[in-house]
Amino acid sequence: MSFRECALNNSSFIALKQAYDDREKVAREWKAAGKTVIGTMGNDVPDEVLIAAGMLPVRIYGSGVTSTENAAKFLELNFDQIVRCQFEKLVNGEYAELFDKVVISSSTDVLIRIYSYIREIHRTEPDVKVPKEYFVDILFTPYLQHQLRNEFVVDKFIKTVGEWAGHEISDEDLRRASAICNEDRQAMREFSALRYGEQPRVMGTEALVVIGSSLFMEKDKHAALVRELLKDAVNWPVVDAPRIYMTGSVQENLALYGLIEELGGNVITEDHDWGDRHFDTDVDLNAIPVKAIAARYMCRMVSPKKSFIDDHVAATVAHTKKTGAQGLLLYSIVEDETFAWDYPNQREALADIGVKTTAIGRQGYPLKATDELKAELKGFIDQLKEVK
Amino acid sequence: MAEEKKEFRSKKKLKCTAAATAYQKAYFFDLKERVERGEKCGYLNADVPMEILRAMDIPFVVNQWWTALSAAKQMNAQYFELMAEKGYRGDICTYCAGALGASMLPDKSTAPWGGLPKISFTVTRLTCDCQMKIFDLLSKQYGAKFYPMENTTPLKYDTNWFDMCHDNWEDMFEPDRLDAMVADLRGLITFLEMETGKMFDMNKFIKMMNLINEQEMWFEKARQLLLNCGFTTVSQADLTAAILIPQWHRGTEWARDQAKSLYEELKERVDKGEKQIPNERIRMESKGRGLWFNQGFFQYFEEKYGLVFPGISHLTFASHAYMRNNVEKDPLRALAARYGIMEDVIHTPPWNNCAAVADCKEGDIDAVMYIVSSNCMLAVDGSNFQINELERAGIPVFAVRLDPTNAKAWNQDEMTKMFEEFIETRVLPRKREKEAERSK
Repeated sequence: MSFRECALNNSSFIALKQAYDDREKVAREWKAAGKTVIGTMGNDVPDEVLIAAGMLPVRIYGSGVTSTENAAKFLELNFDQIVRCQFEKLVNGEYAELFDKVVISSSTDVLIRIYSYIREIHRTEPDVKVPKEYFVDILFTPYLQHQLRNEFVVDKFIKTVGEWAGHEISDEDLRRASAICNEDRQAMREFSALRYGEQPRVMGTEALVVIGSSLFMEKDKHAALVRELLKDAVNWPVVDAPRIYMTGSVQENLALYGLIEELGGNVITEDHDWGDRHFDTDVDLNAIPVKAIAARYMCRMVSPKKSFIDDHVAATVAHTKKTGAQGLLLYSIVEDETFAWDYPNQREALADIGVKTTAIGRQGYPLKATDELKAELKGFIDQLKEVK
Repeated sequence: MAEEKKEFRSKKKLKCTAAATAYQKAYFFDLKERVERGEKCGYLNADVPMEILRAMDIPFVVNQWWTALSAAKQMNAQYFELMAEKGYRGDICTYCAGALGASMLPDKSTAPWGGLPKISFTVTRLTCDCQMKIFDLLSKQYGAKFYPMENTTPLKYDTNWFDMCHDNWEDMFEPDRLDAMVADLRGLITFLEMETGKMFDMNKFIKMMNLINEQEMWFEKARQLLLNCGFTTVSQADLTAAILIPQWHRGTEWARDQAKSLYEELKERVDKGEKQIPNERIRMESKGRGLWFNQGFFQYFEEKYGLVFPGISHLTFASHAYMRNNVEKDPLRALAARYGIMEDVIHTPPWNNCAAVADCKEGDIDAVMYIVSSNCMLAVDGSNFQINELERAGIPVFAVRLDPTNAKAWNQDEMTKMFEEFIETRVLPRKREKEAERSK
């Protein structure tokens, strides 16, 4: 796939793309400078806490892994291939030196198991070099008792990270870090706004680069680059292609969106963790930091995997209206199929507002652009063109 | 030969098993009558603290029991076809979604035993992302209310948890987890009181919790009896029904008495030297899911190899996972210390693998059959850790990944061949080694 010239001619975009492509570069620099780097798994590890302690959070990803033979010793085939690839990098020694710790959040039931497996590897497999694990057990059912529990969990995390850092993390540290993260989120929100509406100026692949790069670099530097990019992107050419809302398996590389673009479509929004969910909702800087951080992770844009079906459907309809998406694509890989339970209700609700949907499941990872997949995507894009 | 094997059925010898099966059926039909008379009925996942409902005398049906019954009646394939017709995937979550499929039957009375009664509310714990969705949908299908219970993950563990669980359960948990679970229990009680108009009586609950401890004490005695008698007196299939049905009814006097009867019946058989088979040679344990639709599969191997499944792990689980002494100190906390560890004990290392090895060693187990459910994240169990730990302990494991609810996916000839090869190449050589070591 290739980016548009408007993006490639922008130095900020190129800098973001370098961070997106060479995902460990900043982490290596931090390690070389003797600073602490934390690998994170799941979208609910509060970066604010790690940043407040002067650490660099870096997301663990699976793209580019060609063999999962080490992961296969521990993971059952029920684990989807993206997670298998991520786990492979944890157990094949690749991250042993780079990360001081790995922090996993309860963002999916799969990650809960990954946490217990890593813990068990530490207990039973001393020859396997894996960074020491920590678990952030956020609950997502929107009841007060769980909010209070989450505040306890975040507070415990703050104290633990303070122990790692060798100093207590103050409320002021947390507010400062939260402000940095908020600013980065705001910059990404403004950039993503250029994806929405009837005249979007951003392609899905370009958005994935801008959003994804924030997972691998300092947030303040990322925010500055996105701000700089915004000045130019507001004048990028309008993308004339059917506008697609993507739900389903996380897209931590450009393959799917690139294929959709090749076939004449454009993903303008999504609810997976490497898209719009990543920057939705700020930490309230006027509230008590621990409460504000817990609330941010508990109460933001619903997680398709952790939400009640009505909540997910309502969020899908609202977000479709907000973004002007013309069609919803559910794309999921083998063994990552939770979304399938919500889809019939999403389909019905979106049909009521004249939005088409399609579901493509049981896909392999990495993406294989088979003729069958291309035909399914092309057929859907052509349907959306007819609506236009 | 394959056709001959298909004719095998698991043979039940215990009077207790027959009594339990009859009781369960009578209970279900009585429950349906109560619901028809206007009582509200709950549909619960197996790991929900059903003690609360029992203490409140609220009728309920357990999801896994219903799925097992449907699987035994070979109904599940039809359920999943119906779901596929409605746009749902018919190939995922087959262990938990059977009732959702049953709710789509055009004539619901064609489900086993005339179908489920009217369901007023459902309760599940959020131990799996899909389970929440399934119960959410199930509730919509039945026009029922949905009460989800959260699940927290332990950061602390003890590899000898089974030595602590009866009396020192408070030390087994992080106190904050117990606090959270008690808060969840109080939330459930409030929901049920509002929903049914029945009050939760703490005194009745304490009495019930102590009845459960008595029941599990009888199971523990039965476990000790079977561990020490040196032979297998009844089949696992026989024993399983005699244990599981009272476990569904835990907290009742019937269940306590049934556990006592089981012990007494087993003791009588052991005292008389009555063996399940005369030629017992290989002792196996099963882990993971049960082979519900084909309980008779192993009888061919029983006859050819003297293969038995003593089934002690069910008794171990009954004792370890359920018995919680010192109830009066804080009854809801004691209950939290029971249901809160279920997920870990069954599905998570190091709880399950440490207990598995200890249990197999105590039971002089020669090999393990491990069924990993093919479309279930909850049931992955850390199976590789268990398998590795068992193999390291010198216990060969026959691991197979399949859908234990789908009879259509079962290839009898292929499975027979694979299992026979396992016995010939792994179990018998190891058995000979063990015998040689013992004769030294």
